[in-house]
Amino acid sequence: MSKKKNKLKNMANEEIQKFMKEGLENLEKIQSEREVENLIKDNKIEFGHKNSKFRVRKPTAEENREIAQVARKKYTELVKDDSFMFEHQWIKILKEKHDVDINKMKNEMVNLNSQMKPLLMKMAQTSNKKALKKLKTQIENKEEKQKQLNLDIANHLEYCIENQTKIYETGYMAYKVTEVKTTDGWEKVFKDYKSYEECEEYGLLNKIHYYLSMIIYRYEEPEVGEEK
Amino acid sequence: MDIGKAIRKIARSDKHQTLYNQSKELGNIRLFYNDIDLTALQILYLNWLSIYNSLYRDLAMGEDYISMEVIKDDMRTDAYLYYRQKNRKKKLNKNNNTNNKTKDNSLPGVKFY
Repeated sequence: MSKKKNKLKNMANEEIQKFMKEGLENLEKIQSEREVENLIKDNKIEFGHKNSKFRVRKPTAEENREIAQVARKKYTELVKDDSFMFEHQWIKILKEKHDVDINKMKNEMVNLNSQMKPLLMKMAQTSNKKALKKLKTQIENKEEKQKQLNLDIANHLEYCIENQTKIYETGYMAYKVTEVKTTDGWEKVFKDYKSYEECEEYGLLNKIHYYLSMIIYRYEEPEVGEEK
Repeated sequence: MDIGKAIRKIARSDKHQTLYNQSKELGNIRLFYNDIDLTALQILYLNWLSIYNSLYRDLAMGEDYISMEVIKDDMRTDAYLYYRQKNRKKKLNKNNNTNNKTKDNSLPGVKFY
């Protein structure tokens, strides 16, 4: 009798635990949905860091003009500096001296894309669970390879003039559009670009750039051969 | 949190699809606080709202290979969208046999830096 009672008790506990787990999962889902809704409701994104409230906002037209101007100046400065090279120069040197063929890697990415298309076509026209699972794994593997190639290319070309100008431009934008909430309202976090550069609060900087990436819209034309 | 996945998830939800439809019909329902200067994420969200809206329309019209299971699965949705694009191009080419021009009806993508 007591064994039966224990079993019932255990079962009830299991059910309670299952119920609580499901409840927590649902709560997490709702929270993450709310979080995303908060990210899209405005062109200003607020976030917390060490008990303070920060925000990044879309730059004004005037700020955009200033950002473009400083980026142009930086580009000119880098072009004049012999220690910096353009992307095509890096590609040439990497191939000749280090046997790293960036163009081959880019072609490989395009090839992987072409290989994925027939798989997607098959996937669209089947509902067989086993076939779907197999196709999903094949596509995921190819996507993973593409991601790795993309990362490798980005790492190899990190220091080219084009990328360095973009990094500077984004940093300048971060200095311009990051604000902190004070008793008087929203105020700039960095008084000038130098204080942004000297900032060692890496947790805050990571958050700023993470949210800023959701604000900046960069439309890129598809590359030749890439289907729109 | 994978922001791309999260945006797709809310864009296909009943709540956001209703908001989208009502904002189109009534005009006085605002999706965002800002009317101009949209962020990359807002543009991506609008893009997915419209794509999922077209998928729900396909579902209502009883089109082949579309189901709620497909809509809930990102990769199967991508596969269906690719199939639909190819199929439409094929039909368009058939109809335009006399005129060899093909129409480009694809939407531009959003890329984060």
